[in-house]
Amino acid sequence: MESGVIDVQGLDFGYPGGEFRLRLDEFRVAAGESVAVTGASGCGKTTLVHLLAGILEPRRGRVAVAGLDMTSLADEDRRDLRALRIGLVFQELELLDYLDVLDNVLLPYRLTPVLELDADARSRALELLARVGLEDKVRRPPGRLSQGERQRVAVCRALVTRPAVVLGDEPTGNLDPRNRDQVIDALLGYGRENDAPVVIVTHDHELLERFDRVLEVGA
Amino acid sequence: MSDVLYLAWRYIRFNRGKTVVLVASIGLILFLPAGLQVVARQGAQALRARADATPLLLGAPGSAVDLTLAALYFRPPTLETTPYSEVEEVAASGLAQAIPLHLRYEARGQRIVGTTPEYLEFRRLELAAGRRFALLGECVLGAEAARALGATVGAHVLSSPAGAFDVAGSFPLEMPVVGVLAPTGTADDEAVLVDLKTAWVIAGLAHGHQDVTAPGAESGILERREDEVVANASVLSYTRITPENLDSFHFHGDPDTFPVDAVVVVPHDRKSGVVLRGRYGEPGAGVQMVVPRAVVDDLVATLFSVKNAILAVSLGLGLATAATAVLVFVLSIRLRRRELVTMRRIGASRQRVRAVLATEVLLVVSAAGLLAAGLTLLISRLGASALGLLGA
Repeated sequence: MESGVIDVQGLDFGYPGGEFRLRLDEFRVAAGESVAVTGASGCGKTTLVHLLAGILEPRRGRVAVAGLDMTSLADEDRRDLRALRIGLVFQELELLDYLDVLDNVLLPYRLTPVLELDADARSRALELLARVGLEDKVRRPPGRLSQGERQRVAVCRALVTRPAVVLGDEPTGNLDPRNRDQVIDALLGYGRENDAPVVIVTHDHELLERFDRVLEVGA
Repeated sequence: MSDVLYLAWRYIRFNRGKTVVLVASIGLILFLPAGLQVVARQGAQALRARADATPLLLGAPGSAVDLTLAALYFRPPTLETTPYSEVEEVAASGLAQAIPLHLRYEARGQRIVGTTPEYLEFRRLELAAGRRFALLGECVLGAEAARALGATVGAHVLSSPAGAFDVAGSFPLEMPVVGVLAPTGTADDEAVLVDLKTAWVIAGLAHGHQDVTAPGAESGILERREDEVVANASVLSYTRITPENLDSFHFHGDPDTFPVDAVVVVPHDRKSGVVLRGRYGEPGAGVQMVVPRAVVDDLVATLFSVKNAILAVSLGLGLATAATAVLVFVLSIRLRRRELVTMRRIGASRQRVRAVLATEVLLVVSAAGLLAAGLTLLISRLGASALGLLGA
C-alpha cells in the first residue's frame, strides 16, 4: 500500500453498551484525492474521522492510513502515527488561550517527543500563517482573534507537521462564507500540493462540489 | 527550557491572578509554622541569653515572673518596691555585688532606669558617643531610646509625669543627655539610664529650690520655727539640675528607706550564690530572690506550649488549605478537559499531559515554598525583638 492513502475494509464500530453502529464495507481515498463526508446528524461522521485518526478502535475491520494498519498498532504507536502523519482540524476547535498564535501552531512539536521543534518548523509555521493572512498576528493570544482567524490558526496547526493525511470534522461549521472558503482553500490546496488525501466532514452543501468525491454516511 | 516546563509556565503566567492567590495562600500556610518556629526559638534564645547573664535578682515578694520581666526587660514594675537598705545588706554580706534598679518612670515612653554606674559595666554597655552619667540629673540613652526620642549628646530629655494626680512633688525633670550607648539588641537599647539618686529626684524624694534663708527671700517663708524654716508655695522648685543649683538638691528622709524595684545580685562565686539563695529563700525573709534562668525557663515552657497549640491549629489550617488547593487543581483540570482532550488528539501521550499539569502544580508549590522561605528569612532577620516580644 502506498503512502498517503486511506484504506478502510469491513469496518464495524459500536460504543460499549450503546446501540449506535457504524459499518463501512469499503472506503478508499487515493493520494491527493479529497472526499467530503456528509450524512444526517448522529449517523457517525465524526466517529468515522476519529476511527481514521486512530482515536477510536473498531470492533472489526481494517483501517489503514499512510501505509500503516491502525488496527494492528499499539495505542502509543497510533498516537505517534497521528502526531507524525495525520493533520486534524475540528469544529470544536481548541486553541490554547495561554499560548499565542505561533505557539498554538507549533503545539504538536511541544507535545510529542517524536517531533523536533527546530528552525524549519518555526519557518514553516510562519509561512503557513502568512498563507492564511495571519502573518501580522503571530504573537496575538487566540482570545483576540475572530472565529474565522482562530479556525485558520487551527488549520495551520494541523498542517505544520507536513501530514500525509488531512482529516477535518466540520472545520467550517461556524464560519462565514469568506472564512469558510479560506479554510477549505487551505486544506484542499495542501492536499493537492502534497499529494495528501483530504477527508472533511461537512453539512455545507455549497462546499460539496469543491471535493473530488462525496461519501454519505448512513445512506 | 523544556517543552513541558514552557507550556506549564505559559499557563501559570496567563492565569496569574489564580496563581498569585494559590501561591499566597499555600505560601502563608507554609510560612506560619516555620515563622512561628523561628520566632519562638529566637525569642527563647534572647530571653535565655539575658537571663543567663543575670545570676540572681532580689525584689519584693510576689510574682517571680513580674520581678524578672521588670528587672531584665524593663517592663513596668507591678510589685511593691524594696527599701534601699536591702541593696546595702547584700553588699555588706561580702558575698555579692548588688546593683539597684529603679524602674517607675518613663520619658516619652522610654523606661527611665535608675541604677549605678556598675550596671553599665555589668552589662558591658559601650558608649557610642559621650560619657557615662556622673552628676545628679544626667542621663545616658540606649541606642533605640536615642532614636525614639530624637536626642543625642547635648540634648535634654524630660521625664514624664507619673500620673495626673501626682501632687507629691514629682515634677518633670529635665535631664541633659551626656552619652548614647552602642546598640546591643537587648532591652538596654530602649532605656534612659540615670543614677539611682536622679530617679529618686524624679520620684520627689529629693528636690532643689530657692534658698529661702538668703537675704531678700522672705516672701517665700511660711513659718519660722526654732530650728527650721517652712517655705510657702511661692518658692520655686528646680526642674533642671545645673552646676549652679546642684548644691541646693537635698533628700528628705532616710535613704535606706528609699525605694528600688529590683536588685541585680552578682555573687562573687558559686558558693556565695548558694548561700544567698539559702538566706533569702527562708520563709519570712520579706524579699524574694529568684534565679532569672529558672523563671525564664518556666516562661519559655509556657510560650512553647502556646506555640505547640498554634502549630496544631496551623496544621489543621494547612490541611484545609491543601484540600482547597487540590480542589482548585482538580476543578481547573475539569474546566480544561477540552483543552486536554485536544492535546491527546494532537498526539500527546497521557504521561506528557500529566507532566504538564504536574509541572504547573510544582511551579505553584515551589513559588509558595520560596515565598514561605523568604518570609521566614525576613522574620529571622528582623528578630524576635522586632516583634515586640522582648521590647522594653
